Amino acid sequence: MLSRNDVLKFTIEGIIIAVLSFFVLLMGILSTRGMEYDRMQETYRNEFTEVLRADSYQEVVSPLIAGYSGIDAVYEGVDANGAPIGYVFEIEVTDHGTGNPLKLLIGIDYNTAQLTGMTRARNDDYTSSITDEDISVILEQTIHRQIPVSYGTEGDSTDADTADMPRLADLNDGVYYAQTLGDDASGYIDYVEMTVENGVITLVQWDAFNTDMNIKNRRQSSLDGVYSVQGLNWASQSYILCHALMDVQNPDLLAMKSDGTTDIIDGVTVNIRTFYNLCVECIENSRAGFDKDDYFAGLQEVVEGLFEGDFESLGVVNDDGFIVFSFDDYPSVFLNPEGGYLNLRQRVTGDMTDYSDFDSSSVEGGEELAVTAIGSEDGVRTGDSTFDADSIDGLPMSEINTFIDGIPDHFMRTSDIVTAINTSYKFLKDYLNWMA
Amino acid sequence: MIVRQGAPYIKTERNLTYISTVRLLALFPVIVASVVFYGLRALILVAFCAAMFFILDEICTAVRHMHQPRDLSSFFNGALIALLLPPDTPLYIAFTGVLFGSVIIRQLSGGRGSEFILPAAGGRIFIRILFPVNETAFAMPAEDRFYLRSLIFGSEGFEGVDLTRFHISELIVGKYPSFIGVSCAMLIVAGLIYMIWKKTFRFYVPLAYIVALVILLIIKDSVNGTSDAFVFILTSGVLFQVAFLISDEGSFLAFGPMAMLEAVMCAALTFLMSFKTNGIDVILVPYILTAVLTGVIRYAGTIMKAYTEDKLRAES
Amino acid sequence: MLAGRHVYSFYKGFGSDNDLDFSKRSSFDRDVMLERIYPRRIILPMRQHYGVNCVPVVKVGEQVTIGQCIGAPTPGTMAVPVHSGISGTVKDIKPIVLPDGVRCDAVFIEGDRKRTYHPSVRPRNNVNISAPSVMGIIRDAGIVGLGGEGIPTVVKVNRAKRLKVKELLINCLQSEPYAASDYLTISEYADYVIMGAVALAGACGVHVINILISKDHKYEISTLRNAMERTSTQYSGYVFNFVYLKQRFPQGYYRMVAKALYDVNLEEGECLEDICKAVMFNCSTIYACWNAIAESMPLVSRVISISTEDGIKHNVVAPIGTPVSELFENVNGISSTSKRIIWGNCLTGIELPDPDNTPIIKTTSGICVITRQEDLRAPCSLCGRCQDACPMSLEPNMLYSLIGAGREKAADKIHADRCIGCGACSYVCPSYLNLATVISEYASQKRKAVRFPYSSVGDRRWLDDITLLSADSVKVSESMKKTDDTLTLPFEGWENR
Repeated sequence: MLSRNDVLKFTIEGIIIAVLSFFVLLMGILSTRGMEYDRMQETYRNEFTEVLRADSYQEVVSPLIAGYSGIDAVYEGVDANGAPIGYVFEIEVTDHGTGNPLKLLIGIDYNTAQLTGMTRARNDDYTSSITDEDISVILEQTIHRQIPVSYGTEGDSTDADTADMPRLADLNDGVYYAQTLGDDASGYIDYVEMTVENGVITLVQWDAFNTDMNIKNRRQSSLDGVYSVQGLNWASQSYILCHALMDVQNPDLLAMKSDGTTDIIDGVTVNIRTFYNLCVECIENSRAGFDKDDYFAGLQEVVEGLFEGDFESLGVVNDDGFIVFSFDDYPSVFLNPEGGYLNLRQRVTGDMTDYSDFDSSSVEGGEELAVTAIGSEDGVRTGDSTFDADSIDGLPMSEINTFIDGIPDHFMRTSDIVTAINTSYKFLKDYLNWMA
Repeated sequence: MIVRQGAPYIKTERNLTYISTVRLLALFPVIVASVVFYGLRALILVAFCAAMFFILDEICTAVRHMHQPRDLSSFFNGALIALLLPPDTPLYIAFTGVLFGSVIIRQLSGGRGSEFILPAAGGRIFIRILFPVNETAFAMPAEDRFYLRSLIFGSEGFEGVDLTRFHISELIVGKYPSFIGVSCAMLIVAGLIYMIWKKTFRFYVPLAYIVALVILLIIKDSVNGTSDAFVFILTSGVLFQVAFLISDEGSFLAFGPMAMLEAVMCAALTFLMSFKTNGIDVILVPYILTAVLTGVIRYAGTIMKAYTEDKLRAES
Repeated sequence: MLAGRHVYSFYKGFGSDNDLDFSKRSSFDRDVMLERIYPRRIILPMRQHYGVNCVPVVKVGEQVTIGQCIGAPTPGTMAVPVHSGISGTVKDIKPIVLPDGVRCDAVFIEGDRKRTYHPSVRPRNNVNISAPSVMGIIRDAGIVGLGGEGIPTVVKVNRAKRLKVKELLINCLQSEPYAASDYLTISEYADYVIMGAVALAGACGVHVINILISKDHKYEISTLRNAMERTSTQYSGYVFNFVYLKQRFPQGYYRMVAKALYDVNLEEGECLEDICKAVMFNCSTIYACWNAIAESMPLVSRVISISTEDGIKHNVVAPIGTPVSELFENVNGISSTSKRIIWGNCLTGIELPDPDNTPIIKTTSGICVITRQEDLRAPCSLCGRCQDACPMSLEPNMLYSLIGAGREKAADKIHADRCIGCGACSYVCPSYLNLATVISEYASQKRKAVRFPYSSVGDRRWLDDITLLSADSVKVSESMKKTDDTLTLPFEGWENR
């Protein structure tokens, strides 16, 4: 046995050993942190450069990741100054063909939300039926394009069979454009862009850009939560409204009331008068054959006429190519000498022909169509919404930025890969708080 | 059996209790490293195994009516079993090893002090045979220190890391997945130095082992054109083997040229094992083989020595 | 060629990890200064040496004085006289049994507290005496090897002369734990040690004197150097060398010295004088020799180390024959009632049952008081520490199990008979096995070692040496002494060696 002195001695030695060991180990861990970091960065670079090129990568630690069962890990790529460049996702999706997992690495650009790369992850065990070639096909269609992504022909009018759709008469095919000549109280200048194919309106977009070019357009601002309206967010209401017009083809059938609202379109509570007016102008431009290019050229000509000097130097064109100029301070520019105001086409071409014939008889099929309620969804909330065919992976179509054809004859594989991409979008939306 | 004392009437202070206390204290740095890296689950595993080993030992000693001096070797062996386990080992697997080591190895050898190998080594090899799946229950160190689920349910396994990409200083500190107490080379060496300072282990024994192993590994590297010698020494657990297994006086000689010879033999067997396997086999199998073989060799050596001396005397 | 900075040692042995620290010396610390003990009574056994019993030459009731011969050897026998260390009255003469099993008569003397000296005890005017005179003096003074062997010193001198040794070794290598008597002797009587060495060297016919000491004992080394300087004018032609050996047990044993200094393994029956041409004396023996030469004081007292494991340590000068219990009375802090009393030092001593009636004898260098505890024995763990410690390179763990199993042939095969009983194996054994007891008892049976008459080898030679002890030869040598009593150096007869 040990004597009392020995017991005391050993107890003290044990405490000293434990404390010393702890500090020595701590010093060792701290001193090797740099090496561990370098090693991890080299590993990340080897794995991630193909999908997102950055100076360094940091694993994102967030409780949100647990809410996305497909996401194994998220890494943030930063530049030499530490500013974020993008994100790399290790995502696992289920190949519905075989039921086996597919692990992908997906890179998303931070600033543009564009897909920067996609590849099969190194730890994928190649048990799914999705081949590298399939991944390459999707990558080709989505690289450097904004997410989220949808597949199929939504918005793609080239394959649309427009033969049976109700239509206004005398529409000329092409892309037609109209914007308000003044800005509203928030500085927004509204515009509508309309595409006509085979005499049918196949695409309508309603948005607004701000005279302050630092402010995003209204759609994006509404998605960011900066611009808010009653009811659904403005982007969704714009989407619903545009689709409603595509359904009925005739702005009059939107049943705009005197106060500018409409009751027949579920989810649309904003004043649609500006939209209505711009749509009418677009239809008139279509009937007059005054397409978007003509419109821009004319607008440029008018603006140039107000100022002596080169149009380029005026700096009224924003990044998206729109001519941001409010004529509120120039009331006489579009003044009709015979009373009233001219629109741009009339001002530029001098053509005063009335193209605004929108009565029901000009719509083929004759019936007044009931606008189906698109359904109120809030696909913009954190990923648990399911709704009808106008959504994908829980995201409303209003949010979809890119539409692809997908893999020919392999709809499920396309769906699985696109799901992986959209999962990354949904996470970033939550993580970066894109929707407040 | 109590024996009345003849001369000498004073004995060294370094009795069995002293030696086992020193060896247990030498484990402290390794236990600290395991807790720092793997958190609560490592601490619970070590404490559980040590306590269970002690309890089983006491039960067996009482049942067999053996009167032996009580030392801390039970705690030492229990902690050693835990330190040789992967961090995500469930408690029931650890207990199985403790049971085998304490009851089978220790008691069938004749009780405390009579074992032919360390009970911890026997218990651990039993776990290896009975639960081969558990050998992959590794985890990255310094992550999720409060994760306790594995104590009940184990883990799904670990895909492993490429150790050759680690810097040598990271390997010395132990920042790579391994058995709980085997990774931190610098603290294992600290424990070894403590035992040498306390004179429970002579320095030339581990030195002979390391030198022999390094030489063999360098030869192998020069033939193969690789440079894995030091990575192997730091990551395979051989340092743990030489510090806490070979230092066991019951299974290996602790002093003299024969002790060095045994250490070199163990190093050679470890080197040979490294060709075929890794993991716990590299640590335990050479140790067990050497401990068993040297008992035979020692006896034969004694007879040979006596025979040779007689022959020389007869000739002279 | 032995001297210098090199530190010699035999290979194995051990350094004690629980030795008492006798190194502190302070004039205020009475515990470590030498004090004299004056017992009330002494018990003088008639055999305190290697040889046969002396015969009491006093009667009951007779008054005796300090230095008076109490027991005389029968001429022609291996024995030396026994003298009284106190003055008083002979109370009894009866047989006793000493703890080592020696049975002999003992003279019980009751002291009168007067300290009356025998007339023969007086300082010698002229210490320049011849070699035969030296031998006669040390023989008549009853001087034996005080290191523990107990061989009459004169016998060793004769053998050294006969075998023509070349050097004299002073053994200052007391390495047993708890023992410090030799070092105190050196510290207190360094001059006598030097002069005694000179005298013995002359008697042996050598002029090289090597002091064997551990380098750790710096105080003793410096004391001896100072003594050499002080006494250097009293002799010439002798060369003193310090030979440093490692402090380990049992460094001072003659076989270990032979191994360390001459790299010679002495077998049973071989001796230093024969093989290594060196004769070795304990420093306390040398002191006693010069005490006898210079003061005409026979061997009546010696330094005893009294120590306990609690750290109590005393060194006292006690008359030979002092009962152990009286030693304790003079030392504070020792209570012997429940403790084990060791006659001798704690590694090689013998437990004595009756301290009241057990005296210290000439070869007793220490008394230890150890707590009586029975340790639980653990099985042999085959650690090999005993093999590492055994100075004879035996395998004590194997011998222990073989002897215990009754396999004597196998034990003989691995040289069980070589065991010298030093106790190193038992000391270092962590399982507290009584290795030394079992093996040394078996070994001594095998060697048929007896205290007397002779050792197994060299019987005739001992007899030759003993013959020289006869009173006639001493008288002859005395007649050869020069009248002017000057010390002619080398000693007379030197050239006739």
